[in-house]
Amino acid sequence: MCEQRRTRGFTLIELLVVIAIIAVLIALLLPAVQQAREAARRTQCKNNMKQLGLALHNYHDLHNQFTPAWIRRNGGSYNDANYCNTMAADQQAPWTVFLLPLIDQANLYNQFNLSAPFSDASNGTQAPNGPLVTRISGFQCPSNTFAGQWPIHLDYMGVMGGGTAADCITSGQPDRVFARSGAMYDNSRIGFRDMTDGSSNVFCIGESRYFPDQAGVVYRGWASSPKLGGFPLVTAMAMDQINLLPPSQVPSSNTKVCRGFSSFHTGGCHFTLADGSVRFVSQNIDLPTYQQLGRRNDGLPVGADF
Amino acid sequence: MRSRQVFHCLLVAACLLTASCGGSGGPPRYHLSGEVKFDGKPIPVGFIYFNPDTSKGNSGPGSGAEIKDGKYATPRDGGIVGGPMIVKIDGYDGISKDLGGEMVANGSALFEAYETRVDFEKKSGKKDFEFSQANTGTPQSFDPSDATRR
Repeated sequence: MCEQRRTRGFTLIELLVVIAIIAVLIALLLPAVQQAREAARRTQCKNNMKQLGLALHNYHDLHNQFTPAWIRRNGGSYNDANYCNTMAADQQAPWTVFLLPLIDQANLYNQFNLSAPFSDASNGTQAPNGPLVTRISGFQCPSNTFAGQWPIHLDYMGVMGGGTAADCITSGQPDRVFARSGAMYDNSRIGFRDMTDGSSNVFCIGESRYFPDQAGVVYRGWASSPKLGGFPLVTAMAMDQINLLPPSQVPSSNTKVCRGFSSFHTGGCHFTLADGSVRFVSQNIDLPTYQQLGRRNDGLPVGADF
Repeated sequence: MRSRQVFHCLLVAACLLTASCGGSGGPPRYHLSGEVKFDGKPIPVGFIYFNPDTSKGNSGPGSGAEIKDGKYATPRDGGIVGGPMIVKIDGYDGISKDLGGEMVANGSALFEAYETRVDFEKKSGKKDFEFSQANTGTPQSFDPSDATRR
């Protein structure tokens, strides 16, 4: 009598099977959570670049041109083909500084002395401007794991040009290239009118996972202007394939950084185009197409894989 | 019988999933490795570029590899596309030096620029490069539209 009334329970095997199924489901889900976190960081990175694109457009509204990559004060004749080789370490403010008032950092902008140099011989930023530089999260990709170590570095580079060859190469250092075929370069006054390729076909800002850091140079960061005869710190050109250099080189003294773009995300990197849009460009993009996109007036149609 | 059908369905679904997620697009790439010598000696530090030669109708992504002690190997996810390619090599002595107030870990460039055109087979393999001072210093191709100045 008693035995008949007892409800039937689960056997040990049934319970074990259920637990095993749940374990398998969790094992499937856990890596997906990490992927979702990386996707969120990637979206945030894209948003940073979109904000910089909007700031560039607002700058264009104010000044009828995009920011110059940096203000070049000294160092040879402007029209000299050898213009990057004069060893002048007293260049003035780079594009990042000009965008400050447009990304809600007007107070910081007002503290800078714009007639003082932003570069020095060690490729840093000297006083009085160097010590003022603080961390701005909008200049950094959230996927960058070196942000704690190098708080003022810059993950977004102004695009100074593109192509198979540079306009000027630092003598004795073929890695270090300068170009003037893109959206911003020294003392540039490029506006929409100059982008005859169409503003949706010209890169303005690109991502870079490398920022050449060096022990002892404290104020090398987003406010560091290029040193002529040295290295164009806050700019790069579309010359080498995306993600060409192996990762985990940050911080490094590798100065090929200025020859191409790269990112902490898998498969490619983000670009802000001159029309303000942000596109994720695959690292498998056709090299000539990618080099054309760095140039503002090459007059060639853009290939189908962009 | 029923459970076997379910199992087959699951198997097909799993195959479809892995097939649709695999591969990152782009043309097939081929692994390449080898040795690079300058004036008979291995290049201490440098870089080798493999870019498609568009003048011969080739296209696709460029590739490259670091040279360390005269050896290079393309990364696992970034081999060469094959066909006619422009190979560019730069090399440094690897002795840290001061460049106007900045320490350069690579040191001085051994030569100005070395460029050669090679027609690669579309398969993985080995390719060694050897050249001397006489082969280098070729000016890089200059595009006149680069020269637009304001």
